[in-house]
Amino acid sequence: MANSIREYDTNSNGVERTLAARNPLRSFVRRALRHRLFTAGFIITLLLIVTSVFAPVFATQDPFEADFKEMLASPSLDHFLGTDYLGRDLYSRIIYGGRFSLLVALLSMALSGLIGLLLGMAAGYLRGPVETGIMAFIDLLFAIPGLLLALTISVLLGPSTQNLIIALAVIYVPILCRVTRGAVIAVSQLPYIESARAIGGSNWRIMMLHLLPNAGAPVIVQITIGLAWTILSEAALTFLGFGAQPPAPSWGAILAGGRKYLNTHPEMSVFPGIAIAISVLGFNLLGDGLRDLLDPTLRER
Amino acid sequence: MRRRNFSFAATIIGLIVMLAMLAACAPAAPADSGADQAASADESEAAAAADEGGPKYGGILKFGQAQASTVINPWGGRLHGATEWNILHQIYEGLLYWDSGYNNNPSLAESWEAVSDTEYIFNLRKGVLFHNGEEMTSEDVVYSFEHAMDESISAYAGWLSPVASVEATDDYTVKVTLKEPYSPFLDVIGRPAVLVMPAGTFEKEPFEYIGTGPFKLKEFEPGVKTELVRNEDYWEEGVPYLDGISMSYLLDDAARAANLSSDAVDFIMMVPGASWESLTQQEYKLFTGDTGIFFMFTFNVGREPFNDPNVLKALQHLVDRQVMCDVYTAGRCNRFFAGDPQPPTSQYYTGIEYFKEPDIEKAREYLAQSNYPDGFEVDLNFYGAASDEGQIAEILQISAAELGIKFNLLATDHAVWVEKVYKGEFTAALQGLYASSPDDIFYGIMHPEGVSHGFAPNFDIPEYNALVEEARRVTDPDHRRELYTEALTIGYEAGWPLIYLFTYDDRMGMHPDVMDYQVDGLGTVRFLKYVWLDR
Amino acid sequence: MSRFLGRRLIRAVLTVWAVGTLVFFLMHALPGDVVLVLLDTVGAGSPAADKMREFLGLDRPLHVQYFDWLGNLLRGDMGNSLLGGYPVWDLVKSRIPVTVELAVLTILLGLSIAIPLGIVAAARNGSWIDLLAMQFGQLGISIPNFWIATILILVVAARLQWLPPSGYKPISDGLGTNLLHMIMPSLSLALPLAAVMTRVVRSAVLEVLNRDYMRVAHAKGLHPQRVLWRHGLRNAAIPIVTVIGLELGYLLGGTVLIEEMFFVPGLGQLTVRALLNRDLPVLQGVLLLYSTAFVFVNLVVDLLYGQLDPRIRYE
Repeated sequence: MANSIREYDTNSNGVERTLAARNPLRSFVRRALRHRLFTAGFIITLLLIVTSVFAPVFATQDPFEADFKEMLASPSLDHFLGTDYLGRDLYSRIIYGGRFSLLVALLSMALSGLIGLLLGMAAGYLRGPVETGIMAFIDLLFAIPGLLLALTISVLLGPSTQNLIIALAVIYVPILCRVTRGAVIAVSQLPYIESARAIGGSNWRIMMLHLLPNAGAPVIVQITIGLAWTILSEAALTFLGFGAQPPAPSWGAILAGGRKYLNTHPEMSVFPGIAIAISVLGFNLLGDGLRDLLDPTLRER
Repeated sequence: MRRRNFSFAATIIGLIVMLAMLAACAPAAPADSGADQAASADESEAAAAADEGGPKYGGILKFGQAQASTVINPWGGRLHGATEWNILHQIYEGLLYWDSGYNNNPSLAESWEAVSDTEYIFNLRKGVLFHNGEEMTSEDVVYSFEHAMDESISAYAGWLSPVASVEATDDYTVKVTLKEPYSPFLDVIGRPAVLVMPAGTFEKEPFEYIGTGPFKLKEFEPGVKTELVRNEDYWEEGVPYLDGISMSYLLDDAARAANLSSDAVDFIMMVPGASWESLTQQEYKLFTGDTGIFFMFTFNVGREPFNDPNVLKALQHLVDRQVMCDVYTAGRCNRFFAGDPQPPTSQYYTGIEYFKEPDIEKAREYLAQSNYPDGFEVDLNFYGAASDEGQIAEILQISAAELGIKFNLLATDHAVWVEKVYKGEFTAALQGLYASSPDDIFYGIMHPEGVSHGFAPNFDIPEYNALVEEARRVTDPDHRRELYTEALTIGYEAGWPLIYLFTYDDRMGMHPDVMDYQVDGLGTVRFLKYVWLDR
Repeated sequence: MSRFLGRRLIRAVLTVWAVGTLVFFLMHALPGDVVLVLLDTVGAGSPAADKMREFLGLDRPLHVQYFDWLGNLLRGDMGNSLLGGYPVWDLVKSRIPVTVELAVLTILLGLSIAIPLGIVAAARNGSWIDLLAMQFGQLGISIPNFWIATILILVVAARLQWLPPSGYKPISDGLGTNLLHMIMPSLSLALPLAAVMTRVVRSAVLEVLNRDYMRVAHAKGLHPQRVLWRHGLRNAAIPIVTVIGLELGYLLGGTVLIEEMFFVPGLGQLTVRALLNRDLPVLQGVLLLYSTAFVFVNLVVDLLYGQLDPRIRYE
């Protein structure tokens, strides 16, 4: 599936830095502005968000409005990128496709993040048989190729946008769970957690009040990269026909619909791909940037 | 790490590089049209080729199917599936066969005779060997009939329901007695609805496929490949010419055409409309038959809202067939329906034109008279995922939205399709079907006892049923046509649950050196035994 | 070491077993019925369907089927396909070389871009080549591989007509023909891989170049090229080998879309067909193979890591 799921920089650990920073927000913003890659990622992501939120403003036509007299029109002033096989404005569909992709990505990462965080914190903090059980389950999910697992879930639940979100969330849970667990293990060995425990704080209270904020940095990085991965995977599943169903303006769906016209109207195959690449690039840069900014070992060099 | 030293511009450069790729992807100049003459020209070509030197033996025909066949089922398979028939026709044979002119010809029966309206005698060919080396006798034919008539295994039981008994009068003679006169009987046999196999096959080994056909099954990997080899003991002198047939499944339209034009395969089913021109220019042979797949939307009148005739009438007038044809076939469909789905050339054609051009105002009127004046929301199944069928369904979805009707399109995979849709468990669906005789169209699909009633579930109107039953017993064409006219009029008035779209033939495309291909009347590839390779 | 190995092995086997069990019960939860796929003209309750169900052994209680499957698996029998009755192992066996060839070609292609680019980028840290390599590393992982495939089909096959658009030829048809059909599928997979690997190679080499012994080598006056090749690359190999191993594991499962697009009859295609037809034994067989490969590749990578880097000790 997507490549960005795999990150081989193993030394990311935002824990110490978060503790060390005196005025975290101000120093973060200052350093962020100097970090060019982060800035680039931030700008691309911001553009994606702005065009998505204000899609009706950016789109020149209604993306669902078919015009059977204007099918497969070439690019013109009316239709910047031409029209698709039903005479819908391709440019407007791609703009709305961004909204769709972003929404799917955010929802599935929210779901995945929730499950992954809970499982990861439970495993990392409670340890013992809970950890063994959770991690065995995570290993199991890891061992099945992601796209095949997503396909199976989609067949099980039936293809729809809602089920697509569920399928994508499930596949990303193991990654978030592992990252959370690692961070939590690192944090929970710190003295102040020990003392919180000593004064009789409940497990739930400690996890929510102390572990979550302090173990959050690597998870946020991973979720940002997960957004990139979700956009890629959403497009792949929909391209195969197992994701969003018509008339959803998914980039993957536009690509799939355009295959038939690849020779005569390559616009339908070319532009959604570029849109995917740019958005994914944005989140990847943002994620890498965040990792750099939140990681003290990299900052020193 | 020096990563952050990279300038912001570098990212932009990357994007520019990508955009530059577009230059390479600029659309090709549209080619001149003019391929329409191709079809007729091709058909004479095959005949002319045979004069030069005569057929050559040997070679493997590489055959690209358009759908994946997952099963070999001599009792039907999917009724509408050319894919399965393309395999079955090579392995099995019936007593008679239909040619492209809809005439019956001798096959395993050398001759036949209608002793009376209800009694038929078939004289079997002698010395015909099954692929397992045993000789075919009347006992095997009786066994095959009995299984084909068994509703629990056969899709064709309904076609054979008027058969009262089948007896072997001697080793090479079979007598069939009907309960009542049944005019389509010989057509059903010529289809063939009864494929002859050795007695006891199904009970012994359901996965053995033994017939008398020109090719034997060598290997069948469901959905992946089918290998057939020449039957050396075939009863017809001198054929087949080919050593074997190797079938692969090329489901993607563009890929299938590309495989033909790059000579990766010799023969493909369903030449995509978009590739027609370029293949013709490269002198590939393209064939079309006059009959083909019906595309239609089917609605379950047993479920809301389609139990309301006005809803069906509204939809009948809403559908824009031309657009669907343009999107699905690149404008190459054969014939648009206007009411009666039969070809106007048929002697049974009723001339009923219930709808012609899409008429949204009329659709609105009917919907206003229905119980759902403000529209409704309903699921519509289509076959496959990200398929071209989905695009047809999308057009209905768009048109219907104007009336406030919301169709939720459901891509339905094969396993769910055969379990649900094929059994009539759907609310709305887009389906395709081979139907060529009036009995198929008016009885097979629409009558509760018909073999394909799953396409029109719960459609059961006693007046209509009586008329089409009557038409089965009548032999006079004019009388039959009158009965069908009356039946169809009643049907449309009561709310016809099928919206006929257009026919689109299985267009076969083949390499210039594939010789002597003959079209059959059912849109299937039947006569590969006469095909030879000029190489 | 042997204790570590033993523990890891047990965990690997347990994971593979769990995958099989999960898939088994997941498949029974899927809508659709393989018996009806086989006999698609009859109803679920008809005598023929019952007969077929009995013939295939699907009429037995679920737990009996499960233990039957497990028992056979332990004896090395993966069962037979429900469609056509072929032994699952035969089906799987014929697909393995195809997918492995695709994966190996992909890695070779990917490395032939990544290694030179990564090394040069690291050696000329901060130069325009480094800039280009890093851009490639970011962009490459952002482009969907199925889109690369689409563009390749458009440009290389349709416009330039250099390569066949799809299809597969076995090596027995000649290595040249075989490779001709494999170039585009493996290139589609190789570009994102090359992007990942370029970043890995670059940072591994950079890391090594900054080590003390490299400074010493330079200080001794050794030729810079020689320092890079003799001392730098050997030590940079550790993370690179690790990542190649992990990538191989991912690739085996990641070829599905590309196999579908180019009609390469590999394991991915077999899995999708089995899933769509509800051919449980085949699906189970392939997924077991995938997870076994994945789990053991991970294990081997861990061990290899220990071999290459003597500082790593397993308790």
